[in-house]
Amino acid sequence: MTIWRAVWIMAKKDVAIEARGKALYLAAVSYGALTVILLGFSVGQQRALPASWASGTLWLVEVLAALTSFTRLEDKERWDGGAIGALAAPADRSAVFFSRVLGNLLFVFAVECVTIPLFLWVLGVGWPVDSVSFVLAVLLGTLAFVSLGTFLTAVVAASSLREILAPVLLMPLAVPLFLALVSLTAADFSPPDPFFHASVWWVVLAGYGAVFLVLPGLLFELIVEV
Amino acid sequence: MMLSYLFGAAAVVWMGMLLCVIVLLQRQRRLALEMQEVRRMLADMPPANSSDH
Amino acid sequence: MKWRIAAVVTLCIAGLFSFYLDFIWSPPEAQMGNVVRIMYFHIASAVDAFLAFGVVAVAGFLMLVLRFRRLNSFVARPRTGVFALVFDPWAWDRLALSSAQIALVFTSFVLISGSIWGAAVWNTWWTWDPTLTTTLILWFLNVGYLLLRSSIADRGRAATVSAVFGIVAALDVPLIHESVTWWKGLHPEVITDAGFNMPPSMVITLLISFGVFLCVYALFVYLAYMVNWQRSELRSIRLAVRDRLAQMDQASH
Repeated sequence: MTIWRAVWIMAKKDVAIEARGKALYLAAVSYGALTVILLGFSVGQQRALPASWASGTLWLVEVLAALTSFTRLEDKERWDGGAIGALAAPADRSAVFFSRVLGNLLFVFAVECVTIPLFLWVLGVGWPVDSVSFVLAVLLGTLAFVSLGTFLTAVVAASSLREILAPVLLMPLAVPLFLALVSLTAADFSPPDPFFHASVWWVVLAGYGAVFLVLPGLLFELIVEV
Repeated sequence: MMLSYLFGAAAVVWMGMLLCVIVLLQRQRRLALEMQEVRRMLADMPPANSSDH
Repeated sequence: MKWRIAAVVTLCIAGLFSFYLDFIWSPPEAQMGNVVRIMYFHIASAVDAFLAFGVVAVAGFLMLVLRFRRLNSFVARPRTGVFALVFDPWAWDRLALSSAQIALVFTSFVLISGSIWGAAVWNTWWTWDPTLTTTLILWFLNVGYLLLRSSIADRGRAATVSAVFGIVAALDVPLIHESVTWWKGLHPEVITDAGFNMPPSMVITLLISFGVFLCVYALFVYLAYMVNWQRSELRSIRLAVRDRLAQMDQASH
């Protein structure tokens, strides 16, 4: 049982469980959609939102929707001793982490597929000028954010303040990631600007993704003690 | 003029703070001695599975 | 006890001397006037706040290494004196906790004194300058660390988890500073680095202030360490008493 096979099997299990009930998915999509709609109300009649505001609020909505899902997804593991069973699997413990990342990633992507177009429509922003860059930023950013979030959810798992503490710990650490995503998507919504150096932000995104995939893989055994 | 007032205020705050530190040190010393006593008491207590009762 | 009181008294005198330098001896600055004297307290405590958080990370790292690196036979060898502390993972954990608690004090002081300085000189209580923003985020990370620590029931797990978080947080802080700097782009920074283009009298005062604040930090960490140690000792004594009472109950039935 190589680690990748273990990751695949566990991720498949998680996705299958979620796909059967779909309750959490629907709840998360509703949460995202309602936040977008309330945002539309709060912005008011002003339909032409400037690009930087649009990207900032878009990522705020995504971050909130993702954060509320992480703890719930972890809780599902806990029911009926699922977490203990996963840890008893005949593979390296970090397989549990990677399978969680994969499961969370698919979940958050699925939520984003609904909320991002809804956001663009409700706030009248329209399609991004540079779609390729936008999609790439969304993919890479979501990967980085999900791996960071899954790591921190595991870190606060033993805490009694679990649900409140996960966002409190996540948001300061994710500041560079958030800034990168906001800057990149803002540039994608406006005409190309010769003074905007995107490479730095791509490096930040890729760096976060890489570090928070590798690092928790090494540290997961320490964090998770039955 | 103003500066000497500021200096006086800062000096008072500073010395008050260090006075608190000294008080804390004394309290800790007393607490440490008490804990030593309690530990000695625990050690001297009869072993749990003695058939005194 | 004697040497502790002597150390505190020496620090008291050094502090008074430093205050004299700060308030009376050093010259007022050309543009800011006497307000610049806040700088002596503000920069010194900023240095200590970041140092304290670094200590949290390093102590956490050492604790993890000593606990988990299969050095058990090496670690558990009976030792005396200083070496007993140096090779004890729980001592490093206590140091991390103490330093985090003191870091909160210093970081809060930096934010407040910086805000006062800004209000006096630039007429603004806050600005999204990279250094200010990073310090604010550091404050939140600090609070998060302490919350994490205190909300986990099992002490060993709390130590491990908070050490991991402390290391990640400390490594992230420079990155946060850099990314906010890039984000600000070509905007000039409100607070430029004072650097050492100050008259030498101010430099000397600043350095002495650094020294005094560093000693204050060391003293506070020492006190916090003692308090934390006694708390954990008290906890173990209480548990021992409770166990003994339970055993006596069992024996008498």
